[in-house]
Amino acid sequence: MPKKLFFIFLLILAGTKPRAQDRYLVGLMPSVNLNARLAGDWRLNFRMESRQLLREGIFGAPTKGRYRYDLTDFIALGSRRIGLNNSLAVGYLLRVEQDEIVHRLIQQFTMVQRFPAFRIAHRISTDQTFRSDEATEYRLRYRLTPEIPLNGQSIDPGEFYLKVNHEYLQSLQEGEYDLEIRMVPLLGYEFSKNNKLEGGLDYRINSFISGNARNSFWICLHWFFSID
Amino acid sequence: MRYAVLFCFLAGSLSAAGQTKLEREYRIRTEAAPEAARAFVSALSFEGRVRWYVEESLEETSVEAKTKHQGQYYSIEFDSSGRLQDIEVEISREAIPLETRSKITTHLDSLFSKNTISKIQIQYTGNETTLQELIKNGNTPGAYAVKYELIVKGSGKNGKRLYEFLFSETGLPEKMSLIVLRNTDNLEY
Repeated sequence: MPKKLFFIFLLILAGTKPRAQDRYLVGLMPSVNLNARLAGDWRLNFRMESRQLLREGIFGAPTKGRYRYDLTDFIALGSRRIGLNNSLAVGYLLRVEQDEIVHRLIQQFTMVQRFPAFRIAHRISTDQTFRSDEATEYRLRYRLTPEIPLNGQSIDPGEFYLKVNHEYLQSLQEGEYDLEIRMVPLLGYEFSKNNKLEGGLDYRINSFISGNARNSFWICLHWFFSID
Repeated sequence: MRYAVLFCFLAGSLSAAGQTKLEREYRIRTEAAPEAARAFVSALSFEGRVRWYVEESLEETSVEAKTKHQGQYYSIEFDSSGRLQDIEVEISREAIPLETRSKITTHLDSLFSKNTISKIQIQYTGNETTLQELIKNGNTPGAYAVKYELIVKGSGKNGKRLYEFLFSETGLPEKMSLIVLRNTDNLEY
């Protein structure tokens, strides 16, 4: 059943029809995640993620295909496990753009449900983004992540798995509200218990409530490495 | 430069994977399961679909058949040649005889400040013919052994953890082990 749901997600994604004047961009989004387990139930997460644009334009109009470096994020999160399956985290993001430095504070709560043949994670987070020439942006996010082994009832070293991040981000900035929806189907490979690689497509749509939608297609490659 | 650094990380992780000893579980086609095991399971005439898995560890390899029958989950374990090792059936707390249940509860309460039983399986071991008769008919004149396997969430000085317990038919503790939960970093971040 979980594998069927995953493919239904892909079909919904494929069937989404853009409107004329909707904008799009296509790019690359690699990231490296380093996780360190500390004493007790404490953990640290460091992530570096960059975005590089390959193409952008308006649907139906001639495209601009030109490589452009967009940004790099450096994130540090400290988390504590509460209970068996839940954790609370707070952190900081430093974003380096072409001509600006952006700061963000992050707070998140994650709950993992374990079923015999798969896992589902629920993540609720808030963040506050500070730019020098803009008002503070406040966001409330919910992400649902099912993870399904492709061989057997659990993921073992040397095996592939499927994962989908489905997220809703509500944003408020100077009284203006926006909603972003993300759908990220990923194929993962577990080299070892502490070493995983995931690749797929990160699709995002925002600005569709009060204007022309902005569609982003990021080809992503995420590496997760843990130090126990 | 960015791509060179990423490549080095990936190359390093691939070489590390080649040095890892595997303990794994994976699904196999019915036809790939040992004939003796297939014959045993087939004779039980389960109503649900039977799924076969191989479990490999450093010490041994076993084959497991899993299915749902009349509302209960069954797990039948064989060695690699198809010889029956045990049958486990998921049961409710109330299905354990009262005296045995009371002894188990007392033992768990002595170990943890708080505990919750999340899964109970009754484990049958014995002669293949006897166990086949037991599963099909609900009883048998033959001799067989009964144990109870419990998955317990326990709170102690180390915080909340998940444990696996094995109790005898009379509720005496035989084994306790900590279940190491899989890393959730790729789900949280």
